[in-house]
Amino acid sequence: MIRKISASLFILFFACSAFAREEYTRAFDQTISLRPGARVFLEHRLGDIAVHTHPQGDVIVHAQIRVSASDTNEAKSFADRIQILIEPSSSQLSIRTRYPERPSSFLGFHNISYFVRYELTIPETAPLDIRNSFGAVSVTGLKADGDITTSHGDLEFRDARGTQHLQNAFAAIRVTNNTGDTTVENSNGAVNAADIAGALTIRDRFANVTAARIAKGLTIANSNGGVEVTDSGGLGNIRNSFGNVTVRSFRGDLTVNNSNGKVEATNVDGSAELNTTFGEVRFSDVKRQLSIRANNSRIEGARAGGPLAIQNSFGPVNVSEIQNGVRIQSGNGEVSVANIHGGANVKTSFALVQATDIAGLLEVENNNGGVRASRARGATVRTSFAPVILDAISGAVQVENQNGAVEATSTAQGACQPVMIRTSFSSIRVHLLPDASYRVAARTSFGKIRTDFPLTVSGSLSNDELNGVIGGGRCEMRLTDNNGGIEILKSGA
Amino acid sequence: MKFECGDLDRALEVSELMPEAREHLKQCAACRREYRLWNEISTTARQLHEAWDSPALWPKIRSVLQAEPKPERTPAWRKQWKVWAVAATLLVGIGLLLLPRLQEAISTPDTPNVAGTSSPADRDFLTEQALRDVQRTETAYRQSIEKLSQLAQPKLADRSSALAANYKEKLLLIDSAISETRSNLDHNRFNVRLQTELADLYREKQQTLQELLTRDQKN
Repeated sequence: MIRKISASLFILFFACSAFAREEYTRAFDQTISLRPGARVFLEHRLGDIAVHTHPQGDVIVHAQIRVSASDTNEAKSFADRIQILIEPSSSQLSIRTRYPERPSSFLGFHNISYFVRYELTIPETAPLDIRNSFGAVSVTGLKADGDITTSHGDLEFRDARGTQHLQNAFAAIRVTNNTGDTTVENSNGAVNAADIAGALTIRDRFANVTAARIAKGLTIANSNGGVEVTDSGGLGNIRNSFGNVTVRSFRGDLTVNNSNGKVEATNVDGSAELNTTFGEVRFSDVKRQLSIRANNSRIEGARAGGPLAIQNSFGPVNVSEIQNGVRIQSGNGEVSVANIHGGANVKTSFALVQATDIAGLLEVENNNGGVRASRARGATVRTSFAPVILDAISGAVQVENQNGAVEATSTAQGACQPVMIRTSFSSIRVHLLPDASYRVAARTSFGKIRTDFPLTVSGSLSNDELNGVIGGGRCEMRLTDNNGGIEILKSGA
Repeated sequence: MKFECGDLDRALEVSELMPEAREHLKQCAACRREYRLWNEISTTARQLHEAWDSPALWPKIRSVLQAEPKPERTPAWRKQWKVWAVAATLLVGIGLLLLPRLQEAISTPDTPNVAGTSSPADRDFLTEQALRDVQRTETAYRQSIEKLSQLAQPKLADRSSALAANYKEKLLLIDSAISETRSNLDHNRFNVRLQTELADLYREKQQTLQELLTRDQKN
């Protein structure tokens, strides 16, 4: 009986002891003199690395080796077997971490845990090369080229000078204040770059990218994440998909190629090319020419140096205050243009076109969609199955419609501004200034022709055909209808 | 029959159609891309596949089956109940004595027992108890993710959708990172950073699957 109790107690004590854990910390410190121009190379995994710089020529290595095990001896034994290999050569100083292949006993195999945390102080002019994984890396004050790679740990790089290459995966990269070109590559981790006095290249996916105050241009290739650029300059080239792209205050030419995401550009000093699909495009204050190519997108914007060219389908377009004219090609989407300094050329179908204050010729080609325009220096409109209403057109008017009414108000004065309107199965109504001067040829079938103006008629009079002269008859007016009435009215009458 | 892009899916299932498909692939860049993606996914999926032997499984089942019809016998431990009762009482006593120390270990697991070394403010290693909790949570997480994965399969199987291809790529990437992290954890189970990383990856996978499913519902 007593023997059995003793055996049971032994098992229970053994079980209890298996649950207790001890930790051991060993410090490693070494100072090595670095040859001028030589680089520092650190190869490591499982643990953070912090790098600082100083004006002196030596490298100070401080490592904290931490081990957790079932008992202190085991922890100490394992920690003692973790090696920090320092290998100086003429061109570089290598620092490598070597973990033991296996813990000393099989039972301890699953019971030991460990990592090494580094703090390096290196000469500020020494190029730096770090290869790490499962650990964060921070580098401050490097005045030379750097090549830093880690994974599963944040990478922070700041206050540097030189060409930098920073790479990470599954964790963020933050780079601030580098004088020199900077390349950042990440995957599944956010990138945040700011104050780069050089060119910036970012490649990322499945995460957000933010860039601010980049001086000499930027190239960003991202996917499945948002891109935000502010207050930067140079040549901007952004490619993205399945995420929004926002650019604010860009001093230079900008190209954005996105898909399945919104594009927003404001305050661009140069020209801009904004392309996307299945996402909204918004712009404002683009100083030079602007081109937008989209699909299934809403396009909205104001103030562009122009000219503005838009290609879209299945989405509305609404633009205003454009210099040097607009050319819009859309389909199945409403188009609205306003305050255009220059001509406006609009092509769409199955949707309304609205235009106001066009300081040039308005040209509209539509199908199954109405057209409404006011204050344009001439209008050429073609559509079908919808009304055309033109108000205050100071130039020539040419309308070809089918199965839709046409109402045009001309404010033409001085030079000859012909009026040519044709439609069917609906009415034509033309408003002219009281001193208008036209040679009128109006013809319809199954409708009446009526006019407010005194006409000098030539030929025979009939209800459906009229040939005559208004005023001096200086300009040509041809109104042709089928199954609809024609009215020539005085404006304000 | 004139081979068209829409026939590619069928050709991947019916090998007789592959010669025609290959001819078509020479001229069609879009189908080449799809075919390459399909191949990559197949290759990666094969790499992710895990198989293991369970030599003890059948003997266990057999022994259970053999034991079933036999008349019930009094188990040995019932005969020795006095021994176990004493042992259990002692264990409770020992437990009560050890409890404060254990609680201390859980709340401050990082306190090193070596004089002269500084203790980091953050927790670097798990305690046994914390590890057990983490492992239990991980199991629950994995089961929940497995269910989500099954729900998302029809959506992910849509080879014509660019969105599905994106999600598939992201999930492969996460699975590969999970595999890498787990492999590191095999040798470093109490390492808090690795455990946190693994939990983050599971969370990301879960969010990705949920996002895909929600997007599916919205569409």
